[in-house]
Amino acid sequence: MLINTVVLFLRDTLPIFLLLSVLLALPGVSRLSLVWRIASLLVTAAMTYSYLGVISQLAEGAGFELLKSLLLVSAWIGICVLVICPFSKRNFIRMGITLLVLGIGLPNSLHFMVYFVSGLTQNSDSTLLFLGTTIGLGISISIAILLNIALTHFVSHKATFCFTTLFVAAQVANIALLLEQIDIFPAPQQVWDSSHIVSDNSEYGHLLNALIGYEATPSMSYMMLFIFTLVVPNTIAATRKRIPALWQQVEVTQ
Amino acid sequence: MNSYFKFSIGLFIGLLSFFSPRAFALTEVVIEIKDHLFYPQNVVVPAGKKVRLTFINFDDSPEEIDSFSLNREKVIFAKSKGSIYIGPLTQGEYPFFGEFHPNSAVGKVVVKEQEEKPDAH
Repeated sequence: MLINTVVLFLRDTLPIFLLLSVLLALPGVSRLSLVWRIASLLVTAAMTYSYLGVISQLAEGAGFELLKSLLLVSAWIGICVLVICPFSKRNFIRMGITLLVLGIGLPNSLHFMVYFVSGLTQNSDSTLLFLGTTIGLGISISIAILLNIALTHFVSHKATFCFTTLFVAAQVANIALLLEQIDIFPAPQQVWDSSHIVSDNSEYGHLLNALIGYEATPSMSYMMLFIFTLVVPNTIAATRKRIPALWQQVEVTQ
Repeated sequence: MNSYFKFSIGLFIGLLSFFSPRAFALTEVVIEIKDHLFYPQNVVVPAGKKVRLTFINFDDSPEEIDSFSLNREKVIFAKSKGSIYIGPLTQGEYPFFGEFHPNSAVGKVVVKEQEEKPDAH
């Protein structure tokens, strides 16, 4: 149970820590603003969790997939808002960050909550569950700190921005997998198979998936969605030519 | 306004054509989850066809179906059911497992040529 808890914690919550790390690396996003949003995320996750059983049975059992897809779409809208809106419209910028945190944080945190609450209610001794969660938390924080240092000290703001869009696209592209499995997207056509190089279930596979959306056997829908969600914000940013400077002007404090 | 309306209709029809229709006479395989075990553990499905796998969870706790080879991941809540669509697949074996009980809840989808009828073992 210990190893399983660590693996599931990393799989489900590592993207949240990476998101926070990436957002903190952007000039203009303060820690305080993220603390407030994380608190909102936890409250929203706790409230949503109680209805998760009902939600999952909606749309012929596809309710949870549709909910996650909607949230991921909202995260993508969030990054687009950050790119499109001038910094003078601070309310929009705040909304963009909130959409990012909720859109990526909520589906992932709900997944782990299902496991965590199930583990708590099933086992009389939850020591291993808490220990695994603590270890997973330590690993996630460590990776997030390393990423933040790399982004703030070794690359330019423009590269940080590009990485942010890559990270968000990696998360949002999961919509393709969700919609394929409930038969809304067409049957998957495998583009390549690189599982002999890096397997999806390996440690590197998990990390690369969370960071850049690596899939050993990606489908055509996944690739198309990934490219679309990556190209659009970058194209907007390139045509406006003001993104890195924009985030340097004022801090988002709420 | 009229051109916007036409564009919207065109876009809607375009998107509809992108989606696959819910397959006519889809093969469905039912897998039950009892005491954190899959019944049956191995299911045989035809190659080259889309198949619906329906999981019915009789346990008091949720289970998350995960398969790296099938690229599928779905939570089946306690006392409920859920389906995932797989395929068309080539011949071979595609393991899946219960993420919350990976030691006991294991199974695999065996894909065989079309002439063999889908069956459960």
